[in-house]
Amino acid sequence: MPLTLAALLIAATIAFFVIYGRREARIAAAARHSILDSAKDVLDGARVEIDTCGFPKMDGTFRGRAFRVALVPDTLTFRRLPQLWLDVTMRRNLPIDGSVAILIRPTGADYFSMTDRLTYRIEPPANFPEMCLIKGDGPGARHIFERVAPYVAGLLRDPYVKEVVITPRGIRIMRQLAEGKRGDHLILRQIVFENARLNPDDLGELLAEALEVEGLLLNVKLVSAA
Amino acid sequence: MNQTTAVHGEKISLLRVLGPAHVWALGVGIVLVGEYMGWNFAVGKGGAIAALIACWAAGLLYTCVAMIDSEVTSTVAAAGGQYAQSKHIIGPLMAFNVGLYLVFAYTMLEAANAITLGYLVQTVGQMAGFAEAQDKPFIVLAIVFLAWLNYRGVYATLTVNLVLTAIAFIAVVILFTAVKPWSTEMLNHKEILNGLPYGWIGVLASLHFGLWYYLGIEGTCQAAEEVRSPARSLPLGTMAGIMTLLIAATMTWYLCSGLMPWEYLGQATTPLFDAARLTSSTPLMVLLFIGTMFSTLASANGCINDASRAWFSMGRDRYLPTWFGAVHPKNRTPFRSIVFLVPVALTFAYFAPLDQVITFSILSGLLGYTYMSIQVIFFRQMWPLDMIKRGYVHPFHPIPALVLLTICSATYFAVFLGYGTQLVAMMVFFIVASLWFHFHRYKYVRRGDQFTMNWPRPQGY
Repeated sequence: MPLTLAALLIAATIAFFVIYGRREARIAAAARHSILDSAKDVLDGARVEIDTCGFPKMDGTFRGRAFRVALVPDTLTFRRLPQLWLDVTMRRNLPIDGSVAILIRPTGADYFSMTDRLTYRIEPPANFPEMCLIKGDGPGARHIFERVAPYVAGLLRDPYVKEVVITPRGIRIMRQLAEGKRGDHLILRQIVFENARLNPDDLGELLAEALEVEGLLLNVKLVSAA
Repeated sequence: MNQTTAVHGEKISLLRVLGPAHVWALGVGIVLVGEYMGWNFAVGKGGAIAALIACWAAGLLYTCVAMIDSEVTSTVAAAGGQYAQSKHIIGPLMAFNVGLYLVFAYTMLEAANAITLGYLVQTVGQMAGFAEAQDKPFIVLAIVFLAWLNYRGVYATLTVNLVLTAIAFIAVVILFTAVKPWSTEMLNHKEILNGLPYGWIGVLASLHFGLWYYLGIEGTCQAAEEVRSPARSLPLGTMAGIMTLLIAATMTWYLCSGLMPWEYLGQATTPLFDAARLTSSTPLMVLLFIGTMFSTLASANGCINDASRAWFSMGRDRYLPTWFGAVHPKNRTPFRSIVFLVPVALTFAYFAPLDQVITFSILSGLLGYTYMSIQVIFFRQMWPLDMIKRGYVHPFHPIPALVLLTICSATYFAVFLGYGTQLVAMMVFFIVASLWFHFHRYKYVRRGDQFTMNWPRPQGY
C-alpha cells in the first residue's frame, strides 16, 4: 500500500510538472512571438512570421525602402549572459563594389557578424569606440568606410549598437534588444528574455539611420561619377 | 531605449540591478553539487578531520582565485574568462591549454554528475524492489538527454528551475536540523571520529578532494552584465559565496562524519543521500533524493553548455579545426561541439570510477588555478596599476598569487600521492596537445583576429 501511494504521488508530481511546464512553454513562446508586434505600425505593409530559430521576423517598407527586421538570439556567449540582437536590414542594391563590417566589442564567437567573412582589416579612427573591429573585402572597402565613418562614429555612441554592415546588397544595423535573465542562465543555462519588446521609436530611429547611411553611399556614386 | 544604460568597461548593462546578495545566491546554487557528492573522497584519503582541514585550506585557495579573477575581469568586463585573458597576457599556446583545461574540467564534472545520478537511481530502484536495476543505462540516458537539450537550444522553459535549486540547498539545511546536531541522539562523533589515521600526510592527501567543495565558484565573477557595481559586487558576492559554501560544507561534513564511519564515508557515491537513509526517515530520503538528482542534473546541464562553448570558441579562433565553430542554422547552438563531447563524457562516465573522473576534473581546474597565479604576476608587470584602470584591485599583491601557487603545488603533490598515474597521464596529454598546437595547428590561426581586447601595448614590449 505505501508503495502504491508513493508511485501515485510520483506520477502525480510528474504529471503536474509536465502540465505546468507545457503551459509555461506556451506562454513563453507566445511572448517570444510577439516581441516585434508593438512596432508593426512603423513599417508599411508589415508582415510578421516566425523564423526557424523560434523568434519573429518582419518585412515591410519604410519611406519607400524594403526592410527586414529580425531577431538573433545569441547563446554562444561564454561566461556572459545570452544576448538578443535586433537586426535591421535595408534590402536594396547599392552602387558600391565592396563590403565593410564594423563590429563593436568583438569576442571571437560573434557568429552572426559579417566580419568573419571579410579579410581586409581597417584600423579604427580615433573617434571610434576602443574595442572595434573593422573589416572589408579588400583595399577598395576603405573608400566606402571613409565615406560613412563620421556618421557611423555617431551611431556607435549608442552603447547598444553591435554592428554596422554595408554590402552591395544592403545595409544592416544590429543593436542589443535584451539580455538573458541572470538566474535562469546561471543555474540551468536557459535563456529567458523577460519582457523583451521592440520599442517603435527605437525601430523608427534605426530605420532612419540606415537611410542616412544609404544617402552617404549614394553620394559616393555621384562623387565617383564626377 | 526605456531602460537606463550603464557601460562597465565594454559591457552594456540593463539596469535590472543586482547586488552582491544575488551573486552570492546564484554562486552557491551552481556549486552546490559539490556538497552532494565527491567531497567525501577526502575523508578516505586522511580521515574525517583531515577532510575538514582540507575543506578550509581549499577555501583559502578559492579566496585567492576569486580575488585574482575579479581584478583581471574588472579591467574589461567582457574579458570572457581565463581563455580570452590568456591569449592577451601570455599568448596563443597558453590560451589553447587554458581552453582545454576548461573543456576537460567541465566534461569530467558532467561525467561525475552522470555517475552519481545513475548510482542514485540504481540504489533507489533496488530499495523499491527492483533488484536488477543498473546504473549504466541511466548514465547514458542522462548524458544523451542533456546533450540533446543543449543541441536543440535553450528554449525549453521550466520556470521552477530556481525553486528546485533552492530545494536542493534547503534539503541540506533540513537534514542538518533533522539529525539534531545539538545532541548525540543520532550523531556519534565521539565514537566515530578517529583523529588523523594517516597523520599530517593524510591531511595533505585530502587537499586533492577538498577542492571539490568549491570547484566552479569563480564562475560567478563573470556573466556580470547586470551587476550594479562590478568592482564591489563581483569580489564581495564571490567571497560571500565561498563563505556560505564553507559553512554548508562544514554542516555537510558534521552530519555525515557523525553518522558514518570514515571507512564507508570515504568511498560513498552519494554521502548526503546515505546520511538521509541512516535517519530512517522516508520524507528526508525523498528530499535528499530530489536534492541529489536536481543538483547533479543542473550541474551536468551547465557543464555541457560551458564545455561546448569553450570548444566552439577554440574552433572559431582556429585553435581547433574550424568545423567545430559551426552554429546550427535552426537551433543556433554549437551543435558539432556538443555532439563531439558526448562520447568523451560517456567514455569516462561509463568506464571510469567516480573518484578518478573527479580527479581528472580537479586536475584540469587545478592547472587553470596554477596558471592564474602566474598570469596575475605577469599582468601586474606588463600592465601596471596606472596603465590600465581596474574596477577592483586585489590587495597585498603578490601574496595571494604566491599563496595560490603554494596551495596548488601542495595539491599536485596530494594528487600524486593517490593518483600518480592519472596525474602523469594528464600531463602527458597536455604536453602532446601543446606540441600538436605549436608545430601543426598554429599555422592556421588568424593571428590578428584572435586579439579582441583593447589593452595598450604592455610595458617593456
